[in-house]
Amino acid sequence: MRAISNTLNRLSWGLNRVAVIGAALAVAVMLAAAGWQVIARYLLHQPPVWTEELARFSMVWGGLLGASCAYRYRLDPTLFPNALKAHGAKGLAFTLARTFGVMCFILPILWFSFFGPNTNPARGYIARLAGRQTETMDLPMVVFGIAIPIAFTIILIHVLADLVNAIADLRTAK
Amino acid sequence: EVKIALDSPPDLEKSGTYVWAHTFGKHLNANGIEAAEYERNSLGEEAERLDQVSQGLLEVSMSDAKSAGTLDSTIFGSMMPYFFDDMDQLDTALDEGGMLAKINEGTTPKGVRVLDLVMTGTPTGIFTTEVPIRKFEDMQGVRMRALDEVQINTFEQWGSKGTIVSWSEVPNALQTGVAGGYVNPAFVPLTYGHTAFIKYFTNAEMSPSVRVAIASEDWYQSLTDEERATVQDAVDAAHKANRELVSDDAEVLKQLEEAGIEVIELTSEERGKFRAASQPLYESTKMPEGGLEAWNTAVGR
Amino acid sequence: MIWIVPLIAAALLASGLALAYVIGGAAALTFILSDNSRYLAVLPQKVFSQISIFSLLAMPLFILAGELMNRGGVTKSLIDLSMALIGRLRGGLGHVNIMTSVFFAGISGSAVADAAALSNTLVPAMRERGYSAEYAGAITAASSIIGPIVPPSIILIFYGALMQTSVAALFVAGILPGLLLAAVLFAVNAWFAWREDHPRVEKGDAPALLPAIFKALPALCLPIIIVGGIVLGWMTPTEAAAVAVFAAVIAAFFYTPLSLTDLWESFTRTAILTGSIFMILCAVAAFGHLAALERIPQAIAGLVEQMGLGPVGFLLVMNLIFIIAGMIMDVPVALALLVPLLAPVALANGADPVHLGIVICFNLCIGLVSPPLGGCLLIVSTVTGVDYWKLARAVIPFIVAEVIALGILVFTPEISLWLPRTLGLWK
Ligand code: NA
Ligand code: NA
Repeated sequence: MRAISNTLNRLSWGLNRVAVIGAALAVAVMLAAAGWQVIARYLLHQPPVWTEELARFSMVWGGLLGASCAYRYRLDPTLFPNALKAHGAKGLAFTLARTFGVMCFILPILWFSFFGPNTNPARGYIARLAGRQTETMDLPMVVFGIAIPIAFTIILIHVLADLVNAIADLRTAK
Repeated sequence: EVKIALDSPPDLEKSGTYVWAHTFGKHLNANGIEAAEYERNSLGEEAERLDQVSQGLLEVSMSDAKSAGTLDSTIFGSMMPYFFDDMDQLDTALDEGGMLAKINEGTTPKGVRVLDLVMTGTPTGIFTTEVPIRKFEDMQGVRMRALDEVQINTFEQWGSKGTIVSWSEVPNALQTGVAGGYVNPAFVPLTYGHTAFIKYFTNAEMSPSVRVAIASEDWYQSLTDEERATVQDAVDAAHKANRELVSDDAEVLKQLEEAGIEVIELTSEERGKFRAASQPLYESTKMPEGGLEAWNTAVGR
Repeated sequence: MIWIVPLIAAALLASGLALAYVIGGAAALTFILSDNSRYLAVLPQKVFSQISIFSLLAMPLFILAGELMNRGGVTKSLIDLSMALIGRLRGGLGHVNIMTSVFFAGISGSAVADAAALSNTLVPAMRERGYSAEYAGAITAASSIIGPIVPPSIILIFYGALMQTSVAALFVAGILPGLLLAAVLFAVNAWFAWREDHPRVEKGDAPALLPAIFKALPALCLPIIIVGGIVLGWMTPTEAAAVAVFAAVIAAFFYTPLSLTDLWESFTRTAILTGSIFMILCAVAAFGHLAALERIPQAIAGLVEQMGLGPVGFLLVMNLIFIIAGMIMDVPVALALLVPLLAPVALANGADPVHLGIVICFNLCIGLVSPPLGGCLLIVSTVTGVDYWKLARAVIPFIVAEVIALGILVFTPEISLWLPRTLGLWK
C-alpha cells in the first residue's frame, strides 16, 4: 500500500508542478494579448481581431490549471478546514467523503468529455470540438477545449493520491 | 416536451425571432405536440445551445447564423452585403434554389437541422453617433464597431475603419468615441436602449438580418411522419409570421424618429456605390468549395 | 429521494471538502435523482462557456494588478498615507484599515483582492497593538467591500454587460455610495474604539504626512488612470484592467521594483485564485442549468410579481433576495441568475438602471461578508487563521451598519445618480 501511495504522490505532485508552470504561462499570454489590444488600438489604430479570443481562451487554460493547483495546495475556500487535518479512522472517513463529493462532480464532466449520447465516443465533447475552428484565430477549438479533461484528470489523480495516502496512513498506524 | 430556447426578449412587436419562435410553439401546442419557451440564455449562450441541440438535449433553439456556420459555412452566403435584391430573392434561393437543403446536407450529419433562416428585423443599416452618413464617402470619417473580421473587411472595402468591440462594451464604446457607429437592423437601439447616444440611422439595406432556427436531428429523426408534417406546418406558419413582421419598416423607422434618431434614406446612386464597393467581399466570404457558385445559381445569376 | 441531497451536502461540508466541489457534487447528484441525468452531458461545454466569458477577463487582470501592487509596495504606501492622515485618532489602525480600503478601492475591482491584501498586512499589525484577532479580521472583511462599489468594479462590469447599461456611468455612480459606506464604517469603528478603549498609533510610529503623501502619489495616480481612461473613452474596462497591471509594474519602480520571481509568483497566484473562483462558478452553473430546466427562477420571479408589492415594497423584497443570494451564491452567479429576471420588473416599477446596479452591487457586497458563505469572510479566515465562525460573529455589528447605509442609498437615488449626471455620462 505504501508503495502505491508513494508512486501516486510523486505523480500527483509532479503533475502539479507542470500545472503550475502551465497556469502561470497562460496568465502571461492572457496579459500579453489584452495588453497588445490596448497598444494596437491606440498606436496602430486597429486592434487585431484575435486578441480578445486569445485572451479569453488563455484565461480558460490558466483558470482550469489554476483550479487543479488550488486543489493540490488545498487553497479552495472551505468552511471547515480543520477536518482536513484529521488522522486515522476519522481522517479516512473524511477523505472517503471528500473523494465521493469530488467524484460526483468531476466524473460526469470527464465521462461526457469523451462520450456522447449512447456512450458514443464520436459524439463526445472533445470529438464534437474536433470539427470546429475558433472564430478569429486559425486554430481548432480542441486546442482550448482539451483543457477541461486535462485539468479534471489532474484533479482526479490528486484525489486518488489523497485517498490512497489516507488508507496507507491507517495501516501504518496499526 | 419540445423545449424552444429563445434568443431575445419576448416582444411580439419588435423581435422577429421571437415572433417566429412563438408562432412555431403555438402551432405545435395546437396540434398535439407539447412545446414550451425558455427565456433568453437560460439554457446557455450561443455555443452552449448549439452544442445541446447537436446532442439532442435541446430540441429547438433560436441561434445566430455564425454558430451554425461553424458546422457548415454555406450559410455565410446569406449574409453577404447587397448580394440579394430583396428578402424574397433570399427566400427563393433557400426554397426553390435548394440552398436550405444544401445547408442541411452539411449540418445534419453533425446533429443539427436548420429549420429556417429567421430575420431579426428589417435589413441592416448604419447607425452613427456623430457623423451622418448621407453619401458613400461619408463613411470615410467614421470608425465603426465591428463584430468580427468579416465586418472589418466590409468597412475597409467601404473606405472606413473597423474596431472590434464585444457587444457588452458597445454602449460604452459609442458613448466615449472608441467607436462612432455600428451596423444593425433598425430595431436594435430601441430594444437595447442605445437611443441616448445614437443620432443617425442610414437605411442602407445592406443585408438581411439573418439568424437561424435550429432543431436537434436526433429529435427530428425520432418523430413519426405525421409529427414531422406538423413540425413542417409550424415552420411554415412561423416563417410567414416572421416575414410579415420584418417586411414593413415604417413603424420601426417612426419609433426611431420619435426617439430622436434622424432616419436617412439613400439615393439609389449612393446605394449603388455601396453595392459596387461590396462586390469583392463575395469572393472572400468563407464558404465551402463551390459555395458562392451555388448561391449565384440559386438566385439565377 | 431528492431530500437526501442536502444531507449529503452537509456531510461533505463537514468533511472539509471545498465549497466548489460540495456544490458541484450536490448538483450532479440532483441531476441523477431528479431523473435528469442525461442532461449532465451539458457540463463540459457549460464549463467552457462559463469561464470564457469576455466580461470575466477583467477579473484575473484586476487580481493580477492587486498581487503586483502588494509585492511592489503600492499597498504599503497606501497604508502609510492612511496612517499619517488618521492613525493618531483613537482606534487609529481600525480607521487606517478602512481608509486604506477606500484608496485600494480606486485601484482594485474586487473585494476579495482587498481582503487578501489587508489580511496579510494590517491584521498582524492590529493584533500586535492589542486588537483582538476577530475584530481585526472583521473590520478588514467589512471594509473590503468598498472595493467593488468604488470603481473599478468587477460586479458593475458584470451588471453593465447583463443590462446593457453604460459601465462608465455605473463606475462614476459608485463613487459617492462607496464613500458613504466608508463613513458608516468609520462611525462603527469609532464607537468600538471608545467603548473598548482601542489604542491610537503612537506619534513615533506614524509616518510624517508630507513624505507619506509624496510617496503615495504614484499609487494615487493609478485610480485616475484607470477610471479616467474609461470615463474619457480611452479604453474599455477590460483594457483598463490590463493597463492597471502595467501601471502597477511601473508604480512599483517608485517603491520596491518587481523581480522576475515576483512576476512569476504573481502569475501563479492569479491563476490559482482565478481557478478557485472558476470552480465555484462552474459548480453553480451546473445547478443553474437544472434550475433553468425546471423553470425555478421564473417561478420565483412570478411569485414576487404576484405579491403586488408596489415600487417601494418590490425594491425592498428585491434587496432581501439579493442579500440572501450574496450570502449563499457566488457574486457572478447571483448576477447572471437573478438580474435578467428581477431587474426588468424593477425597471417597470420605475427604478433607474444605474441606481439599481449600484443597489444590487451593494446588496451582493453585504452578502460577501455575511455567513454562511461570505466570500470575503472565507478569504480573511483563510489568510489570517481566525476561526471562520468567530469571525462571522464579530462582523455582525458592521453588517448592521452596512444595511443602514444600504437603506439610505435605496431611498436617496441621487447619491448614485448625481455624479454621472453632472459629468454628462447619464441622462
Ligand atoms: Na474598486
Ligand atoms: Na480594510
